[in-house]
Amino acid sequence: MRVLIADNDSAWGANLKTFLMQRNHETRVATTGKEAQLATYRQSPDVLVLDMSLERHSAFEVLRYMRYNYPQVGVILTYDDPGKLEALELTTETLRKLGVRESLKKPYGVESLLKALTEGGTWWKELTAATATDPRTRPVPSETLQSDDLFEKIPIASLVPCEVTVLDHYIRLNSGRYLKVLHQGDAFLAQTLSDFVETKGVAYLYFKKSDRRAYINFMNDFFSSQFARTRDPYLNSYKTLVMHFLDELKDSGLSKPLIEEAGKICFNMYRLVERNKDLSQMFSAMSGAAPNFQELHFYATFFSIVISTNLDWSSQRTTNYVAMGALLASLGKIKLDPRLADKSIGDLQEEDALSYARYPEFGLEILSAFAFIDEPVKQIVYQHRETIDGQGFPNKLRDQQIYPLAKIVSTSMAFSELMVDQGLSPLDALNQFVTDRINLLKFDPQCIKSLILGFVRKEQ
Amino acid sequence: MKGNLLLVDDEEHLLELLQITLQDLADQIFVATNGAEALRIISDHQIHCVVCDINMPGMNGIQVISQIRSLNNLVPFVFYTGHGNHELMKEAAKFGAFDFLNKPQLKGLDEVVVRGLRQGVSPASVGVSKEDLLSEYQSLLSTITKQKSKNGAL
Repeated sequence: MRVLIADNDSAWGANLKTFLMQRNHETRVATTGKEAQLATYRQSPDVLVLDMSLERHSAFEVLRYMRYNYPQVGVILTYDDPGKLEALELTTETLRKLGVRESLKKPYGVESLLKALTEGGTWWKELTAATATDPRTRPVPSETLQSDDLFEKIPIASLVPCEVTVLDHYIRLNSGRYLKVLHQGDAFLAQTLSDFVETKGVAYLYFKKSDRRAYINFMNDFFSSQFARTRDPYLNSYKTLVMHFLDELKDSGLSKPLIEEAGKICFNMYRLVERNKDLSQMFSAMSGAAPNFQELHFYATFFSIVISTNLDWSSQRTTNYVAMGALLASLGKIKLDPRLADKSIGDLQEEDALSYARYPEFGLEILSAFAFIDEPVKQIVYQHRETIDGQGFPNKLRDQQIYPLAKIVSTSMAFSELMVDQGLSPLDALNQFVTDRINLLKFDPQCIKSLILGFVRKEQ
Repeated sequence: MKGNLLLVDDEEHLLELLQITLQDLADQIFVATNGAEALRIISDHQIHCVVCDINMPGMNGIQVISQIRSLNNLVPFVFYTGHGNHELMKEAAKFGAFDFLNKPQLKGLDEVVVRGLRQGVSPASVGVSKEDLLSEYQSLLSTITKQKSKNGAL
């Protein structure tokens, strides 16, 4: 287990480190809140042992940082004066909401520490690996009056039943009025969800936007843990996850933890494509949704993976890069005039079209600030609108001038646009895309062929 | 035929390392420690793939590819790049870079070089008519339609 100790008493921290290292736990010590955040960013611990006395970013600031960026890390809060907790009216329930899994009064015994570490280091894994088995008592719903801007909706059809939910879920009564129907830690069973649809007639549940990172993190880990357990592709859930990821990217900007989540989304989607040998069958379970920007990127990412895995020269490296490139392809639209962002370049007047054509360059500029994003991803974002006939943008590159990985994303993006804009099923879109002679001039023949091959059912 | 590879970097120890790492992948490996030397080698020999550092004293990687492209030579270029070369990478894109690797990363290099050499030896999709492509696509589509009617999916 990777343990991070954050305690301003360096001697205490050093002793604890020695003790834990002897028990084969990879342990680091931070003596300020700032150091603790930095160490978390670098090391991604399983458990954080956080002392209340921390300074230069207080324990609460660290808790907020953890809850937002690393909700899966189990936090053990340590303190020497229970009066401090009481003075702040910090009950066990409040602490739990702040992300604290266990709290220990100093000095604590070896057994208490080890027990807390086990709980802190395994709770997330157990949560994401849990399956619905034991129905629990439904909580009493409580009403809350808060601005609609604070909430995010999620189609019930895209929710995955599991033992417990990591978020509070609400039903929207009317503008600014919400009913909390599920609390963090409550049972989240198929029956519970179908009850909402059938007896209450609701199609959506809501959660707080501040919990969005926890949702993304939870779903990624859930999908990872479920591959061995089920053949359900959870396609609707993936689509919703990508949509929320893009919302989070738009609202909070690019950061290392978010890119790590993007990497997990791409990898899980790759495994999904690899495992399901019949795309037509897979999409038959897909529910419709209003065409939008986020949905487009879900499909573009998905079909970039499909094309990549069917190209004879492609590798895992290629697939990782094209998936990430497709997911981040429209990042630069953040810098566009908002009235242009959802448009297609073909629908715009000349002046607007010129502005719009700069978004891939804006995307490259944003990404250039991040050393941990590899150049291939940056170049895909920069070149994903180039077409081999030299009529693309921003640089009107021709065939061999275009980065081969960008050609994959360019093809999948155009195909996904056709699906989303015209509301076509994947197979209908494929027929239309492939028989349109203009597309033969614009997109790489190998990429088109690989897209079609993706739909040819392979032997299981 | 595996093809000939040219490695261009001003760091000689890195050139040595790359030569050792890639020796089995190419028929012949040429090395150059600057852009001018690279241009000389390319004009004297048949090169099928170039691995080039983007940031070199004197002639940088962009100037090298620019001169090569001006001779209508479309040899695949793999750029070695470090963080902070934003403007250079933007320029590189305009000349048709085949792939990019983060310096000093060696992971993935062999795969990229093999692909680059293959592309350099036999450029893809040359001489295939649009009609042939369309006919191939339609044949694949009819396979999908048959599978669909057999399985009743979608």
